[in-house]
Amino acid sequence: MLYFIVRRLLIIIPTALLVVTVTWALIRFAPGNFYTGEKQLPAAIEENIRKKYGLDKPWYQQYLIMIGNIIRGDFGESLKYQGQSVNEIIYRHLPYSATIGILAYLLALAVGLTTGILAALRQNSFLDYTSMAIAMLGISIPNFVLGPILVILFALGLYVLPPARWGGLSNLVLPVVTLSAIYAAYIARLTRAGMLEILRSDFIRTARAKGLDEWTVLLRHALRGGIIPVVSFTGPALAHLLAGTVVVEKIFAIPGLGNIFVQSVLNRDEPLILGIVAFLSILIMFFNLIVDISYGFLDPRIRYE
Amino acid sequence: MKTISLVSLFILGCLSLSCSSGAAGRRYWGKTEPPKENVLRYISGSEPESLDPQIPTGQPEARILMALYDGLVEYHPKTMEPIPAIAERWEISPDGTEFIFYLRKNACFSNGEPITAHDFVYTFRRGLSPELAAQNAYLAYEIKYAQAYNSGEAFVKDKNGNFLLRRDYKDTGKKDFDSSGFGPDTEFHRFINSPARLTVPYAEKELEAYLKDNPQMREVLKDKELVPVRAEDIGVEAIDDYTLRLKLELPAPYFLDLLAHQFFRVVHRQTIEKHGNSWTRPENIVTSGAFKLAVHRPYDVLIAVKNPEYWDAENVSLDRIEFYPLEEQTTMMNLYKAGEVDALYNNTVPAPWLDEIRKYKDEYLDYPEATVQYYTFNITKKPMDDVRVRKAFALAIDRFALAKFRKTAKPLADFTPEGIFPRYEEVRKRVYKDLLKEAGISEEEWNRRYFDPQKACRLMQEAGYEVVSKENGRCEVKNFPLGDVSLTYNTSEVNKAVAEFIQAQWKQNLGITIPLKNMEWKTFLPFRKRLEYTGIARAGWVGDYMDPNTFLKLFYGPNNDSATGWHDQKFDQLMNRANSETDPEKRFEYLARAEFYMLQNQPVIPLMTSATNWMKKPYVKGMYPNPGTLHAWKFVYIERDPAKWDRDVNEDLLKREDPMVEAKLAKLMKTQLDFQKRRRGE
Amino acid sequence: MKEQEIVKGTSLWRDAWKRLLKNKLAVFGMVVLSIMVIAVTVGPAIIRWATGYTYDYIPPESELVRSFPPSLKHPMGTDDAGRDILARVLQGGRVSLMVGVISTLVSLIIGVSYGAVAGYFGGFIDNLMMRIVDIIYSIPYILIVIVLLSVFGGPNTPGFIKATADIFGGGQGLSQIFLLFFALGLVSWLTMARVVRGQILSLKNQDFVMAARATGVSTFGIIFRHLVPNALGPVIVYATLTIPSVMLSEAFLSFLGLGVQAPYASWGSMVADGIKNISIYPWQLIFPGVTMALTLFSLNFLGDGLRDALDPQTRKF
Repeated sequence: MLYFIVRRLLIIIPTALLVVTVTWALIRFAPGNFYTGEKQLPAAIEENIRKKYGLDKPWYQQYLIMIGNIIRGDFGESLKYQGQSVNEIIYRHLPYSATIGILAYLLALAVGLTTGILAALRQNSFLDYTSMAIAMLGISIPNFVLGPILVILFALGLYVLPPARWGGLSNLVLPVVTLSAIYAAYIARLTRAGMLEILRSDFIRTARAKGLDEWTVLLRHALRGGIIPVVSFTGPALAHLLAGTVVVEKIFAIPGLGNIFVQSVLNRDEPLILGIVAFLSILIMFFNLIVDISYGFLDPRIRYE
Repeated sequence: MKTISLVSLFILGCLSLSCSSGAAGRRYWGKTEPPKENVLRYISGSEPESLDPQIPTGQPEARILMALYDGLVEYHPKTMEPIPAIAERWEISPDGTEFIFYLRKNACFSNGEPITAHDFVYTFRRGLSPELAAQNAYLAYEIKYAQAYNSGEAFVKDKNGNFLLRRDYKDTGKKDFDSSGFGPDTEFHRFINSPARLTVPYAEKELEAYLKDNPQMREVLKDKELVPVRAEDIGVEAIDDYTLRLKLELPAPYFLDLLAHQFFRVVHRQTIEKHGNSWTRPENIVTSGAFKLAVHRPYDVLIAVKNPEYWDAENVSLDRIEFYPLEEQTTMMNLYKAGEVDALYNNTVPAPWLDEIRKYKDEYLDYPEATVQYYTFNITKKPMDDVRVRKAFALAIDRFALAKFRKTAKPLADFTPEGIFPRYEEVRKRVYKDLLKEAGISEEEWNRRYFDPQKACRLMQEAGYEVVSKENGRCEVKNFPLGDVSLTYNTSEVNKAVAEFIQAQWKQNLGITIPLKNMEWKTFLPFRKRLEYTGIARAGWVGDYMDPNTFLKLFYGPNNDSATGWHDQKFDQLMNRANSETDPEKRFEYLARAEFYMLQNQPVIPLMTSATNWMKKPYVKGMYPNPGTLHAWKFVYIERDPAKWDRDVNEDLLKREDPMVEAKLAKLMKTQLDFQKRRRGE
Repeated sequence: MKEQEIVKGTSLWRDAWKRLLKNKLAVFGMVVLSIMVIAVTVGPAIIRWATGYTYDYIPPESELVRSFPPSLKHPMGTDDAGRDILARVLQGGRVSLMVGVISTLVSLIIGVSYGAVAGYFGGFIDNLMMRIVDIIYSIPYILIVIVLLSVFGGPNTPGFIKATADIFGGGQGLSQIFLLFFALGLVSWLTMARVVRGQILSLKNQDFVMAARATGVSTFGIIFRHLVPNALGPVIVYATLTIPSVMLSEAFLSFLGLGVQAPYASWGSMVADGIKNISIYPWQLIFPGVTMALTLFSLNFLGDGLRDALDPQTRKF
């Protein structure tokens, strides 16, 4: 087990570098440059810019310089936001996204797990149908619709919550609810499906036959196996939530990483893209590792050799 | 299932009801209470790229930088004409190529150090240095040798130590202007007024490319020494600590307007040299404007507080401006309605909302803007290489219907925006009359150039297409090569709506359905620039300064920025003549001729002049819908007495006199006006 | 022996079909979806024949170029350009349904086989395959789509995409839409692969797999005949979740200018446009929104029914 963890941790760095390489190549394939704008630049000015940022060097030299800096942990300065280092931008904007993301995920877990388990236990009951229908509603109402509707109701209709921007606790309510809706719905559905699967399996029957009381069966045996699909889903979902979700950040004007990431791609801000991508890939791999480890705890049938 | 849809319908019903009932009785849109403090909360658009005034190119940055930095002159809050700022007065040489600025002695940076003419010299040289690689550097290219310095060029020196002169080797159509008698005589002044020296690229690669294009120069450059153009060679001179002299290449009457641009606003040398790239961080930054940076949380807020060291601090009304970098229209409208912000930037009210928003007459600002929207033709590819086809496509768009559909724009058939340059428009009207007579175009036909389907059909027929007439003058073109043409635009809701509308127009009037193609911004720009598009592409142009030249120069020169492939000697000659002309009236005449000539070739389809299209709360005063939506922040104030709030702002706000603003303006203008009077008296 | 029953495919499918028909909600879903498919297939032609409106018809009379509420002439009202929303909803349905189905199929095919193989073999292969997933997962999909569309858009569109687009009428706009379908499919199989792998990991040490292995069933057979069918429950549920998510991704990409070409619409883009005007012209949101929600609901009921019907273990209850 320990060997497994160490090996996976070690592989994170080279994988991240591979991700950076692929992304770098993609940026080179994408048309346009960070300085392309509506007003075309005189050739001389463009030349000045290319010289200043080393874009006049051959591509392999540029690649080696870039990857060398990244190995040393230096992602350089943003091309768009001059004088700001990439590390600083990530460090500054991560907390916003993380706060909203973690809160939203906790809310989604609480709502999703409860409804999912209840629905599975009372399969085909009214409760099952209603909660699954609501979950489906959560999935079919995109957050760019849910957000504005909540704003109109609570911020512009009742004037009880602020419509947007970062600030106090009251500013957090609407974005967190908007963001969590779809995750809660996913979790509810995945929990229900996983629980149904497990409840029918032999070992649950055995447990029941042994005369264990229903709650013990449920919590100690069924739930552990039943939430495996939820766990697989959680790894990448949480990584993405931490790194921000563009739509909610845009609607509520939250200075999170997600919006900055999308902007950096649209701006072709190479160092910033690479920095966030590297950060994101490490985050995803780390969470996936945790997910894989937890498989072993949740389901004794899974072994890592 | 049923219950859910009922519930959702109910919610939707409430949503629409709550809004419409809210709109009915009230005078103002949403919550309208002045903020408790003396603060303006302003939505400023995208996050500023940099707080270095010489780096960013966008309008969102310009608005913030105008608060933080001061220049020689400032924009008039209503007309955007130059008004005195750090320069308390100035004079222009008779030939229009030299300016002398007399700086006020009490101007200082936010750290208390005085601002002198040397700081301006430093600022101008820095902005043009190739190492800074400023995108805006081209704005200063009118300054003598500025372009050469910025492009890394060199003078050519012969064996005797004499420099070769431009007039002997290059036929640029540019004259030499000598104003050596203007102002005190200095060594530099003699140098800068001597005939323009020849400049050629200095770097080997570029020089080689230059010689390839100009083979006759190879002989000329033999045994000659190349002397790089230095920062010290450009036409900027500090005569003494408080007198600054600029020398331009050509008389450019608009250059004074341009000096209010953030690119020319003064920066603090020691700070920049000490901190390098990080000088704009809140802990390092030293500014020169009416406000100074207090807080900068990117993507969240930028707070500028009143600068007590500012020379005109007593006339600054606001204690603080909070800039919120936001682009999402719905979000900003929500914040505005909830009373969390006081004003928006331009082009922010979504068109479908306008029927509703226009009811709030005290808040919505609809004035012409110095921005044109147009479509370009790729004239290097068939079938758009035929001017008749281009004209047909231009005439088959009902500009009036388009303007009505967009709700905010004015129809445009010329290239310079309508209602922005009244003096130019007067001259143009007169010139056009003569030109029409020459060209044999009746006035009636000319007036139909906003929409003339009959003529469009006729032109298509003349161009050799099979045309079937339909009712009310419309037609169907049979054998148009649809596969070779598309209409490409960069994605935005507005561009999409306009493209769909125009597609329908061509379908109805010419029976041609041009396929649409949208592209992400950065993919679109090189695609259009390199003329890879087929047929038609979208474009827009925001004027840099208040002169038609900023629009017409788009078509000037062989590698012009029009992205059409159109280039014409005659047009260039007219532009050269205009820009060597010192008499403003005659200059406009040449410009009008150039505009007419260009449009007769129809490399573009002008569509509309944009409108300012923004909102402010009625208690925000001293903030005007000027053509660039650039606000001189020291005039802005919060009025707490509802009786004095702005009313019916869409009628004539620009003509109304606000005693507060007028008093400040009169005081500022006095130095320059007195000076002019004195001069005239001499 | 239950395993042998599974191998006898025909009876299994017939059984499943019977069980599906017993599930009222699933039948409801099927009926609604069938109606929807028929409506979007023939609907636009009927509307055009009956009223003359098409999805891109902007009236020449400038006073008609604005949003009108529902009326007899326009049962769903008109949009900002005066276009009939009903015609647009029907046309948009074509795009959205195809986005959902094609992209989900692409992601199903890639995701299930990939995840199953990785989960079954475990060890080094699993490790390698999952790291590849991690890599692709970490690359911003907007960047992938930008590059795909700019490299393969226009003249370089791959032949099979053009061919598919030609079946539906062809043209530049359609080619880009189909390119988009594949691009979305190519980026959305990753989670599917992880879900399947998780399932397979927990199934592969069970008795029936041991039994199959002991009786000499080939590796391919074990994975695709024994393991995958047993993991189908979560897969189908996840697939029904993928359909809405790709439809919404499409809307988001349209918003960035990488999605459906105007004047074509999709439900996602219509909803995205409609929400902005909700307080002034609510019909712009309600009709496409409700149609889309109804479709997704039906898809979901059908998916649930299929899951129950296909699940070999259900019969024990």
